Amino acid sequence: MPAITCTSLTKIFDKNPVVDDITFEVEEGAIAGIVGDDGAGKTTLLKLLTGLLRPTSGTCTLFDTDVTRNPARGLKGVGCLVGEPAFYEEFTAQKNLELFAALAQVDSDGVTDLLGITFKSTRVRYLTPAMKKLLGIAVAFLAEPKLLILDEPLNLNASAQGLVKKLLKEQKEKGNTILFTTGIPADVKELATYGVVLKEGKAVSQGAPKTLDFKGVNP
Amino acid sequence: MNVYRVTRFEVSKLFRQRIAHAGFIVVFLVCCVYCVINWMTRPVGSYSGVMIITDNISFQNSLLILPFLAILVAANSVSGELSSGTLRTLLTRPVKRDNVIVGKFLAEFLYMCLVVYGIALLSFLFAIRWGFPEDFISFIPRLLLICLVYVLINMILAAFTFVVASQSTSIALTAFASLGFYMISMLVEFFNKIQTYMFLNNAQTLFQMLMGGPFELRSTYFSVGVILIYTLGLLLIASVLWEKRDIRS
Repeated sequence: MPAITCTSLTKIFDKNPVVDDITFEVEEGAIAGIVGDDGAGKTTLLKLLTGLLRPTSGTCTLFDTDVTRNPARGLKGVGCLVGEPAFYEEFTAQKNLELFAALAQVDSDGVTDLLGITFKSTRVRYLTPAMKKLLGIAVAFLAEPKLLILDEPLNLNASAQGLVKKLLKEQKEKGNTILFTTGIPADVKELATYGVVLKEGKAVSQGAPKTLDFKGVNP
Repeated sequence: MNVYRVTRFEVSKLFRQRIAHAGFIVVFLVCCVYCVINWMTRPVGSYSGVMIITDNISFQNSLLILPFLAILVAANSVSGELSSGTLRTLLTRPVKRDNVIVGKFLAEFLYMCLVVYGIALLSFLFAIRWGFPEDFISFIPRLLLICLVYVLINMILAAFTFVVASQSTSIALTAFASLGFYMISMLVEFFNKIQTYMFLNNAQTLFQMLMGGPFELRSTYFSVGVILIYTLGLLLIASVLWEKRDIRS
């Protein structure tokens, strides 16, 4: 059964198609990578997949639930990091984690250990973008999701990037599904079992990473 | 995720935010200043302990401190979170959008209750100087209801703010629009034909009745009904608008 199904997904902002007629499927247990330059429509696509945006046309389903109609039900068992990570800046990283953990009725200690978060007592205001990204990934990992939707999770320093790659591989071994975006084709080649190349909102190439045509995407 | 969990999330967030702390400080400072001025200018016997409690809340409402606080907290919790992106983080959890709005509303209701009942309690401590009438104990339930009506008036403004915030990411714009709504509501009260249906006029009716004025069951039901219709109606509109809104930030 496919974990993610996008059918003719289109989003138009002010007469400008930001996501243009995209169709793809991600099987359960796969790692799918969406690659494209800045402005290619990667984040918009993830916002459509998580119900933050309503498509102009087309549908997207997560495990048989149409997220455009019922995002709350569709996102059950899904961990998301969409767009730039945003947290309550007045609170510490730990407090933010606790808030979201309480919402999901889980414990936050597991993910802080998993991601090696050492800045728990630092206020989010003082975190670097990479630290915020790591915190965003930690929030996505709360409640042990069976599907992870992550926006540029590898946009980190080398050591954190290595850790996240290892975690993603572990998730795949557990049988969980992952969809991530990146601007670097090498990330898709290394991690993904399925890839989609986006250019100006269109899926110009999709399939197994080896068969993808990355022409036009910055290496 | 049900309303209870979202409300708990919103409460634990709101009560730790600087805006909420600042609101408490301003309101309680104004309350103390009002009481101290009265302490110095009104000798014992010239004022009633009950009056200083109700006058203090009424004074803060007339000075727009309570309405402004309610509007600001509501604007911050929706427009502010929309522009900072934290609302996006919340909405990528399996949570219904209308539950988020209701959760935010209930959290603010709790906050405004603390503020208004806090003013009443602080004023009560000062009010001991002037003493209380013999039937004060029997007046306490009425006093608590008066406070509740003040809370509800301000929650109507909060609900209106949620409606505006569903279309705007600017806290300033949302706050000004909601203050404008409050001003217009006050002006409209001068027009006899429609004042019956205005929430402020009906709140006034309830205040008069609770302060010992003539009790009419029909007008009480009507006034309570109008206030509830405003609150729930605006909340419903906000939920519908939120359901349709694209989260672009």
